[in-house]
Amino acid sequence: MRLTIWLHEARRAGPAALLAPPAALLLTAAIAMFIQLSGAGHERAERLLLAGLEAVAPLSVAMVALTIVVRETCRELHLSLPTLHLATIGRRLGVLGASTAACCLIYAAGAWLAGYRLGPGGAATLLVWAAPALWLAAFAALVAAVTRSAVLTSSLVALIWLAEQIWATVFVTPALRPLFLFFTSRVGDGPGWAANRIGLLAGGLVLLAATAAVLHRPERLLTEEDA
Amino acid sequence: MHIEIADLRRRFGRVTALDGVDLTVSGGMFGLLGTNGAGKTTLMRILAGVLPATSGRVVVGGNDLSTRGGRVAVQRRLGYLPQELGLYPDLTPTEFLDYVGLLKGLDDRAARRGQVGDLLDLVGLSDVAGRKLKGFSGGMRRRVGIAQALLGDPTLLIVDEPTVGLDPEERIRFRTLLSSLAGARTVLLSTHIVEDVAQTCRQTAVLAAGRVLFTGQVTDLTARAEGVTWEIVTAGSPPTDGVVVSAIARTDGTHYRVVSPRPPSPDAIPVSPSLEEGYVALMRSATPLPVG
Repeated sequence: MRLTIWLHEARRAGPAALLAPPAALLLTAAIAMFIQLSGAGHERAERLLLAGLEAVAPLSVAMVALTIVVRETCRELHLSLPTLHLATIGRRLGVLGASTAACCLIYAAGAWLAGYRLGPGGAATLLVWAAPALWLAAFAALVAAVTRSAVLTSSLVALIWLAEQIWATVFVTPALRPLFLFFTSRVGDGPGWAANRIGLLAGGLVLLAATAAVLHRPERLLTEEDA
Repeated sequence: MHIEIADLRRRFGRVTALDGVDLTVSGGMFGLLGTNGAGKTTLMRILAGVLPATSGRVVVGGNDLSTRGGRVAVQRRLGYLPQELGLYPDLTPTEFLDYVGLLKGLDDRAARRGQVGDLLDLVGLSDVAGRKLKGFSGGMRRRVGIAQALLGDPTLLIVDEPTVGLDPEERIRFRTLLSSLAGARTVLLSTHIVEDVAQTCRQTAVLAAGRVLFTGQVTDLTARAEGVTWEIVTAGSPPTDGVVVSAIARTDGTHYRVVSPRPPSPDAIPVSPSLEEGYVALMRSATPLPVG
């Protein structure tokens, strides 16, 4: 039963859940390869590969996460079933998390084998992508659960992502550092890196808990206006 | 399955959808009638555990719906067909029912598959069991909906406006199917189509503006129009007094059936009322009857 329900939920999460993260990473890798082959330098290619892992992959994950929360054609039926709808959405997000983790691990391992250094190395490299991906995806899920609008949520996620890219120097300051998604690619993995990653992970977990609280209330998902 | 509803209220912001509903449903097929916006869907959703009540008490089969445990206990014995059942267009009926079966806790694969096959037979969809749902007509989608509701052999079946949008043949077929299911179950049929209740239910309730106007035998509702239903045959203009329930043009003129407290014209003759006329008489009187 366990595997069957997960296979069903993988299908319900949609092809984007399985394809978006690898597609984003493949595109980044292809551009990095092109840069390397065009003679622009190993360092530039490495920076781009790192940005792919820390910035591009989390953005694609967040976009898929918001779609999973917002899009459900059988919402009312789900709410009438003994299986909590929150558990169903959780499984779908779990599928997204697993597919993202697999892609990022393969990508990071491939880059390391090709001689590129993406982050501090070893197990800590996990935090290069896992921390921003968790934070941004959880933020997207929460806004999606509250607003139930894909357009509004994707706009807000894109705005946050872009703002952190443009005003990176502002987000590096101690007050905003726990919210800074691109510390590794903009500052490096030196002092402050671990605290930033832990801050993002903790923030992501809080946002996930808030999302669960919102999704636990059916009237948040289904109101008289829906009918 | 016995359902007891006492002083049930549900508000959406400033809008009161249900305003002190008291209702008892014992078993068999029960029709819930009312105009659009009367509060039927809200009541169905509360009974299905989809929405919580603002206040009041709902006990279904001894389970209090205000508690999480009570809600889950009811949902384990419930089949629910919502008014708007969006299906997954990329799935076949077999895959859709398999998925819903899993969510209903039917863990045994062989038993689940067997039940899915039986239900597709029952609703007459075995021939298209391998076709994607995206190509299904409204009637076929409704039949998939009733099949999913019957998964797990529920003792309570709640169907909300199941015949809306169906062609007459499909509607009759659907009504017959629902009647055949009512034997050992409690079937709650919410509709604004009086004919659906007339053809399937012995017990009914009428909801208007979130309140119960009537509850009792279908025959008692029909009797509300006794002595106030008239037929007039005229080639002239339609009667202006009362509510014209039907108008059929024939060679001798147009036959009007009218619900009116007094004869709408001197040549009006009293006739036996139908359930529809009983419903019209009730709505027109606008005086809530004592519940019970």
